[in-house]
Amino acid sequence: MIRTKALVKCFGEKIAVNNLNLQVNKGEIYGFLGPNGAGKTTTIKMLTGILYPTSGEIWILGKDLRRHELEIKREIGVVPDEPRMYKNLKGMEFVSFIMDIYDVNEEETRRRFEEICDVFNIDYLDEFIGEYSHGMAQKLMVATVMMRKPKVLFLDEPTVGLDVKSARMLKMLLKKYADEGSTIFMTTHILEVAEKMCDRIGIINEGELIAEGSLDELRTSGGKGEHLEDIFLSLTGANDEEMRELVENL
Amino acid sequence: MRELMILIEYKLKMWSHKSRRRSKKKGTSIPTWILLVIVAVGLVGAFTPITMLLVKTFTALKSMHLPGTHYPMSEVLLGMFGFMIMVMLLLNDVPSIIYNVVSENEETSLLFSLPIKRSVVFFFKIFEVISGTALPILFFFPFLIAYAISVKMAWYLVPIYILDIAALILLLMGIASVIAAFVARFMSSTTAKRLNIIMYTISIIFLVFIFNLLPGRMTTGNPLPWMKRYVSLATDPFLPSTWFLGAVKFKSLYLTLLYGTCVLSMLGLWALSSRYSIDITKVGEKRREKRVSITTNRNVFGPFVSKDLKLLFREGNVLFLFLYPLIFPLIMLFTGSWSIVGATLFAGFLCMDYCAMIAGGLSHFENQAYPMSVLLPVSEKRIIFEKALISSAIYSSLYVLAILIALFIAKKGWMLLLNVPFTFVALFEMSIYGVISYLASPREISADFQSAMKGMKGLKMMLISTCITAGVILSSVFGLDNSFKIPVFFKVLLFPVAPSLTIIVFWYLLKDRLNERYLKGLFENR
Repeated sequence: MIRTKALVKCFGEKIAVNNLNLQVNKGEIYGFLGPNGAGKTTTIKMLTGILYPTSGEIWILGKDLRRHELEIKREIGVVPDEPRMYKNLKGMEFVSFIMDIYDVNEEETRRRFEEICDVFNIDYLDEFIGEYSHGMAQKLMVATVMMRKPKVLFLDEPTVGLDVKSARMLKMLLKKYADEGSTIFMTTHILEVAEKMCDRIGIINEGELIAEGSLDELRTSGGKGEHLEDIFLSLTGANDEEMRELVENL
Repeated sequence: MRELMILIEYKLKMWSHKSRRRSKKKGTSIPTWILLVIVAVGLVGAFTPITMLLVKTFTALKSMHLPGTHYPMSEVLLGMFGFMIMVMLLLNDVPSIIYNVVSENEETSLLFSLPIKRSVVFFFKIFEVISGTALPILFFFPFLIAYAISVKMAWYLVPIYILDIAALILLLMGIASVIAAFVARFMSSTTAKRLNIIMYTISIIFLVFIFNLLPGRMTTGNPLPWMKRYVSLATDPFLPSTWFLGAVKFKSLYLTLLYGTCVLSMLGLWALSSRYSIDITKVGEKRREKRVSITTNRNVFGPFVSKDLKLLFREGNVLFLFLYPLIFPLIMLFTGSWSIVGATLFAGFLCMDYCAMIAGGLSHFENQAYPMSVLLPVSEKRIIFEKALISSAIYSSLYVLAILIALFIAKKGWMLLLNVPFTFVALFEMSIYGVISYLASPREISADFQSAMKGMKGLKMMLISTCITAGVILSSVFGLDNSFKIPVFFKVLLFPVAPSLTIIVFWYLLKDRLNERYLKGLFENR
């Protein structure tokens, strides 16, 4: 469903993503992890058509992103890390706008949207988006993406800003969508989420994919520790002893 | 007091840093004091001729009396302006206080978290409101100065005169605050913001109208008959503006009324300040509806146009941007300041400039919601074209309306309508230019809709608007208007050749920037 080949992105002389080769299959939940500035958001931006890669290929749903961009965008859903929408639109106007742009089946999509609103307790659609808190905006963004039931879903830090109940609901919903055949590509800093939800995990550091596989595969490929946090830190070169010493000296 | 002075000092620093940051980005850094000197010189230059004219007017009216009043006409005129200041201040300040002072906003929340008294925060916010309404008050300075000169006011009385003006303004602020505190229970901050902009726009239009109309009326013919209508307003003993008038002449009753009520209003403000809160429960505030009906708008314009129109008309200052190209040329024509040719040119120039600005402002919405527009299954070209279409359609309509009204007033020059189709096309091209120009400068993008085209970018836009207006409208005016005795050959060159060439050349310059790769780069470069 998602495939990249020798993907590179440079910003001037800085190489943000270097020779990335990814493969995510249908019905998989893929966790894309890495330290700050590793290239996670840049990768997701390239996969969703926000940025052009410097070189390399991206294939989504079997189509070349460069040549079939608009068709692919119709089939995917993206929840960015910051839920930025049109501040002077009311929630319901934004939902109508999305339904019109994607030219969806109105009846079915409206029904699905209302169900998701019940799940996430969204009862503020007649207020202006500019007055929403971060969590309220995030929930609306998630709802407008998931109401279309896209075949591929990209989520950048999706649980940030959500209350505990909503975050749990979202995880359950993502699992359900994956079981029904949707492919999910997500980044997160909350490693417990990745550990519990993801079928496979990719770890990127300084623009390069340094490890990939299931949790067991990551353990055997050189990651030290029982939990994903320990594996992640060992693979990204963070030294526990050094960190402890730094904190002690504060 | 110390805390209030610190807050005011930092606010003034922030304002000066904002303009300095903008000018530094463009490689020019003009010190603030030079800017202030330029502004002061500009104001003096602009106000001096009108002040001299008003001195003549006041002097001439000093010896005229309306039957039934003991006020000389010069004082009636001053009373009229006092009444206008009063109405404008109240209409502007009430919504401004609701929006800036009484409603919740980020700055007030931050200030409340600091160890500063609430009353200090209140007066600081009132200071901001007064600064915001300084412009309309500034427009009245020529009248106040002219009156003082016409009565040959002794130098030692000038400070008292200034105190009288300050007392009137403070009294009106107090009244506005009390009204605002009450009205805030029934009005949302969004409504207040919009009302503030509408009132400000009406004030500016009214001031321009008065500045253009009154000098003519006062100095030609007999002003007495029409001034009779306004005597009661200007001299009503229950109005603060009349107390000001009496105080200026040192009448003890009016001095007592003005300063007494000023002190009372300050006490009222103090009482309000000690109870200052931003968590006001609105009367009739509705509970959230769990279910709202979601309807789609599958119309011929498409979802992007529908969405952009909603966002545009919810932008507070857009009313001024629409009214300005329509109203100001017509005011100039109506008051006899300009001819039909001047009015047409001015309307055309303003439409060209503002339609590019509005188109850039529409792109600002996409920037606010970035990366929303890039994620949607819509090409960048379509997004840009639809924004250009909205802006050019609005300003084409305004231009046609302005021309039709101008032709109706002037009752000649109907041939000028022939340039309208060329103007439509030019407006569309200007709109596209506006969008591309805005998107090409991601570092200069700010949170303000109107600032999409400020600074050097705005200046460049104005120069291009001037050239296009000259090529499309000015040439048409010379080519079509029979009062210009020009050989037929040159008339044809001026119209339709020159407008056609202008449009073609402009399109040729724009077309390279309309390829998908370049447009994608604009959206990518946030």
